[in-house]
Amino acid sequence: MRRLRVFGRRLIASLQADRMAGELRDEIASHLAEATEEYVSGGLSPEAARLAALRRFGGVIRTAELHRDARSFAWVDDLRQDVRHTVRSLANSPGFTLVAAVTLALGIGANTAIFTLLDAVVFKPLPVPNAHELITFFENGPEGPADPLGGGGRFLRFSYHRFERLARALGPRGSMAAVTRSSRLIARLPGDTQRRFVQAQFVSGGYFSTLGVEAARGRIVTSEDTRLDRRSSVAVIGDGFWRRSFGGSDAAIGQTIVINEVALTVVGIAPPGFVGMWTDAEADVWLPLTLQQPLHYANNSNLRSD
Amino acid sequence: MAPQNDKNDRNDTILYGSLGLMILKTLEALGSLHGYRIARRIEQISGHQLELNQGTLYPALIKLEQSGWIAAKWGESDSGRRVKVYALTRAGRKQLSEQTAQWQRATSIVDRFLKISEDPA
Repeated sequence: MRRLRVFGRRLIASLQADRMAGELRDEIASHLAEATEEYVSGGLSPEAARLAALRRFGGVIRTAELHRDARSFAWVDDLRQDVRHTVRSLANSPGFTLVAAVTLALGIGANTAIFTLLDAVVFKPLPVPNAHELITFFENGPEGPADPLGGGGRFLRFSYHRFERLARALGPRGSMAAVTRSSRLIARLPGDTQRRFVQAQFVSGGYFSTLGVEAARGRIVTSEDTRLDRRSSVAVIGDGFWRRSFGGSDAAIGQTIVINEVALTVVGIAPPGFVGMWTDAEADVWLPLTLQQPLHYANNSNLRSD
Repeated sequence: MAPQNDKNDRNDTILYGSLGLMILKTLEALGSLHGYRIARRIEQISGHQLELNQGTLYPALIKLEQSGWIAAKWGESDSGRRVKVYALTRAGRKQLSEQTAQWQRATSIVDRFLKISEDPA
């Protein structure tokens, strides 16, 4: 209890260093004056009395230092003085200050950018239930090991038929889903006079059910939407996109949006927080994989060859 | 008048540690005092055998004050000067009796040692 009080008082004294030093100065001045007076009444001349009082006191500056060490945490006071000195000298050389500030800002900015990327790619958990049960399939290519982060994505690619064969081989032991990277496609929404870009991802029929993600409104893309014998022109939109572009209205379901000149019907809205599997590139819309050709999706448009 | 330096060095270690106790005892005996009066009083009671630099009193005073054993407020000296006046607090009174007992125990132990070593047996 006493230690706590002493700690508190020392801290306060550290922050009030100037006031405390001033009080001590006054106190020492009074002390020396009293002592001088006593020596004078003992018969010494004022000068001699003053010197005798100082000698008896034994070092005013040393006393002030000892007093400071006793009453406060010297480092707090030192820090305070250093900060004050630093601010003053920075203010005196604004050019240097500007260069230093810009250097720091760039350094911090670069670090933040790198961490943001790392966070999205490595640290942030996938926005789906039981993310630890998910496995990414990739192939080691002839030129070296695959890039499991999907950076280049080269060896993460499978033809649709290959994907279907793998899914069949997996059978009832699990479910398999495919998704493309986000692509910026040109879209026109109902009432739009200008076109806009949307981040679109093409997904296989089992994509949402494999991840365990259900539509917040309407329905998700299902395997019925990815049959090769007929085209299903539907789109599931993300929660953020829905709020931004449709004002979060239930009327969004059933609306027609035009993407890459193909009219699609909004059939469902993804739950809040689900932004797709590429957490560094959040999706606005999810489209059936089988719409790649009609939409002229150039990255992976070959649905036929193996 | 000026203290002998070598004498001071010899005295300092033990006596500086007991300076707080001396201050508390002085304030108990005489009530409120300012720094210079405390210093003079300690010199008088020690029969001028103890001549600490008077400045060493002030770090000791601030420590006692921060511990809550003495209280300080600005007042006036007999000659009308603005001085800081120190007084014993209730906690200080308790501390004084504890420290007195401790000191007496310590000195009696050291005393016994010294007597044994003087003993030729």
